[in-house]
Amino acid sequence: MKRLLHVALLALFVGLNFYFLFGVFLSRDPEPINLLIFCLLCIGMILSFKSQLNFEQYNQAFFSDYFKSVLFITIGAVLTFYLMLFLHLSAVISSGLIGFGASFLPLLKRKWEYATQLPQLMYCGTFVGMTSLHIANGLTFIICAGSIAGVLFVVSRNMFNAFGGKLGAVALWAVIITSFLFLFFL
Amino acid sequence: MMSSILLIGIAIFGAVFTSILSIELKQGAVRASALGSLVVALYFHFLPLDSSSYLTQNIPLIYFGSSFVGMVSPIIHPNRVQIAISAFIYSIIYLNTEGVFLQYGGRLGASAFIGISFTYGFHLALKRVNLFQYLKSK
Repeated sequence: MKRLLHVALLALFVGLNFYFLFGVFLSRDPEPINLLIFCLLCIGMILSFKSQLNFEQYNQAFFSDYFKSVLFITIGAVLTFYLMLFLHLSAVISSGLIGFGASFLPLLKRKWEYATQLPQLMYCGTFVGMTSLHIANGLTFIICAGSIAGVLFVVSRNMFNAFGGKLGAVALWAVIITSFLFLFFL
Repeated sequence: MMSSILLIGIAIFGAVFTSILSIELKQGAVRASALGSLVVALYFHFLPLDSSSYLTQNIPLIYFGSSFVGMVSPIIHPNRVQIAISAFIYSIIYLNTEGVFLQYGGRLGASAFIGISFTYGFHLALKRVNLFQYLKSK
């Protein structure tokens, strides 16, 4: 059952990235070169997807993992959004400042073992917080997107580990899911 | 055209430099990415290019995204050539995202992730058919 869930989540994660690539290369001008690049990138993704089917290193997630992940990703997102909105800093400067500050949090690991996980959680949060005001119309959106990113981060913990950009991909899907939720329910 | 070539070059440099900062200088992936991006963004914030607002706007962004490519673990990309190829793929995606998913946070990270997945996937496939050994024997 766990294996089936793992494969389903993996397929969903890769499928979402196909959707992103489709939007980038084929939604505006479906020229032959764009179609070729799209197909090549999809083949590469499927090949790397196969490498992730290994089920030996499956880590069980607990409620506390979800709680900490949601909390710190949301903190990172809110701080970044605050820097952009109130101090009028650019998205990259805001994210860089929070990320750089968070990278020193593992110094607290003697007092709190979980501190080693904080930089990547808060850095993931900063990507959520970088969302433009045209999409994120307030702090509620950012808190909601940060919470969804926290859940997605834990759910995807057994796939594509050590791949750069995974945090950004998690943030992008959280923002897209939140914008759909806000569009249909609020 | 020249702007695109320059941006691709910056992406490759950003990824390789982040990887060096992270692994060889032992700063960790998050600090390496955040520090490099912060320096580049502050530089173009205070000293914008008079000749091109396009480059002033896009250099910090493409560098920031390429630093995610450089965050990849040596288990996935053990050498700099693979990092450079991933950064090249990332920059191709970046240059095509104009107007698409533009204001969504995480767009750059997702592009970097796809670049790395592509390179890793093809590397595994080529290893499986022993192409590297064949080329070495030649």
